[in-house]
Amino acid sequence: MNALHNLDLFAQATLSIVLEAIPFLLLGSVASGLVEAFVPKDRLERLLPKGRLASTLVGLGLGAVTPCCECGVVYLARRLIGKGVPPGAAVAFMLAAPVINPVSILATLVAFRGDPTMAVWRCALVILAGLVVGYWAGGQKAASLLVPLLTPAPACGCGHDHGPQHDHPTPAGGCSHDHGPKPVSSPGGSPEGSPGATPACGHDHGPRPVAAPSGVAPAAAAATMPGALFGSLADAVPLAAVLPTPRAKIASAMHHALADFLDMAKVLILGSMVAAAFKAYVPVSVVMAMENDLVLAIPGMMALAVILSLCSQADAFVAASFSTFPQAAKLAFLALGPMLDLKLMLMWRQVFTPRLVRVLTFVPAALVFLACCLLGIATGGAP
Amino acid sequence: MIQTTFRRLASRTDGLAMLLLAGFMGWLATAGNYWMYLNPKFKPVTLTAALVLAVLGGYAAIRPVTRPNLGRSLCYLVLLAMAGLAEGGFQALSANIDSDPFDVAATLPTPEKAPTPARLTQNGKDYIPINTGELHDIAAKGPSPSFDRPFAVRGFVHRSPELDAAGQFVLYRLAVWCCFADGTAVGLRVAFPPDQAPPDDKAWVTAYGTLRPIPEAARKDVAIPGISFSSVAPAALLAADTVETKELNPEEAYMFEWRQEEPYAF
Repeated sequence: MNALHNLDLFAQATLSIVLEAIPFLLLGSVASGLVEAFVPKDRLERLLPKGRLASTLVGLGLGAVTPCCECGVVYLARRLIGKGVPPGAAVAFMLAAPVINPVSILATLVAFRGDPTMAVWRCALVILAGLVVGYWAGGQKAASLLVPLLTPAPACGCGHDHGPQHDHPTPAGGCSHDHGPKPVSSPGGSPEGSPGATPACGHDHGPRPVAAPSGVAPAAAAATMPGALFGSLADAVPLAAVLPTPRAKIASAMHHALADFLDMAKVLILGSMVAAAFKAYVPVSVVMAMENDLVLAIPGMMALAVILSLCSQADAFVAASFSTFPQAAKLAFLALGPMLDLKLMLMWRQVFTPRLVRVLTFVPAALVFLACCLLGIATGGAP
Repeated sequence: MIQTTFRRLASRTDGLAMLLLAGFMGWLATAGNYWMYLNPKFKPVTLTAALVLAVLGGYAAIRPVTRPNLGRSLCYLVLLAMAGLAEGGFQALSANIDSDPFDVAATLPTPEKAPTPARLTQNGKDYIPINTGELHDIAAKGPSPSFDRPFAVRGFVHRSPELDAAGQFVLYRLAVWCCFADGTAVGLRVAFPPDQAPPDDKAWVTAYGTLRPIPEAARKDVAIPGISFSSVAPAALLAADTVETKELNPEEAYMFEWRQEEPYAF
């Protein structure tokens, strides 16, 4: 094979990964937008337990009944944390949901011809990692886990770069105004053509005058409140004070879904290209060279899982094809891939602090490595 | 004036790109070569996603939500280039290269799939049509009554000096569970009839025969070279009565369906 020939295979693999992931990415983005626009912060806070362990277990429980893939849940997890969901629950959900949902379990069973061993071990390892990382995250403040807003312009809390014509349509999305072409850092700027007054969202709206938002009652109480670090202004202002119309809420949900989708689509494309390049240009023999050595096979398969960035509902079939590899190495591939891959690392960097990204990267990897080494030793490296 | 127009256009790049992608997804799922990328069972998912993407893209084109972003725009261009390459632009250039058999150029529009007959007749004998994935599963379970049944199975040929010496080749196809990137070449060894010359490497053939266990001492792992991971049944082979070289319909290069009993997916 040569580079010329492999270029079309590379293109085909890239496109196939992107096309496969887009529906899940859209689902996650739309869910994230809906949560932002329709779910008041205090309701989630009331519903969920506050304890670290209890909230982590709730996150795992939610993951067990939510068929989703790993790309779609990153922004949703961030949005949930911003909405007051205990970080432990959101992080545990994000790590475990792609594996412990019924669709993934069924796919694993089918791939291994009905033998439940691999499915059980895979779920157990992912639950363990979700529990450990979730429990740790439960002890952290949301502000130390999410990327803080860099400019005061998006103080409405949505976390997006508001474009030149972005008329934020509803208080549910934070502030109902156009942010203007150049966000101004001075918090005391002229709002909506009323010099001297402070806008409801607490930041300068830039030079362009904008019409008052439709369907929104004045929110005088909000004028004195600081912009929320995360979540929307609706989180800080009682909904009764702002009364957004359903139409405005839908528009807000679309804005946030779009912004989330666009943020993630970029890294999805880059991650897919890296995975496809590995597929097209690295000979399979390089991977197969590790099959007889447990010490090489486990980290090798873990690295392969990270690079290939396969969907959690399809990776079991690829793992099953490594029939000569030790069972423990196949488990390492299956358990780590949905929790850690190139796409995910790029996505995490968009929304989580480096500290959380480090924990998400190293803790599951270390747990999977240790557990699989122990299993490999116990089974004598049997395939 | 030009600058203003350019700015307005740039601010709508995201929306336009989403609309274009939605159109591409819609076309693939309805009239295009969807099978080259994804298992056709996901068509409804892709169509729904295309619809949602079109709605969001239309919204973004009218009311941009973010400022134009060079990195994102480059990603759109790259994706466009990938679509151009995969959809045939580059295959024309690489057609004469000793290519991976799974690198196929689609015929468009995709031809209607002819129904598979219950039995295929060859030299007056009836054979059960089955695909390499289904036969691989039967072989993997070990000797059973199915080992006595005559099967017709089609796929690509992989030859090597070692296999040639044993009078065998590997017959395989690409099993696509979700998408092309997770495709796995699945197959089994075929012992070709002594009175027949072995088919060419990478030829597309139909083999007619019955399963036969491989003695423990003769079992060897066979890896199929190429970009795909592979799984070749280690414990049984197809003892072929006849091997027939056929013209490949590109749409048949991949397998998307596996059944446990008749009628098999072929």
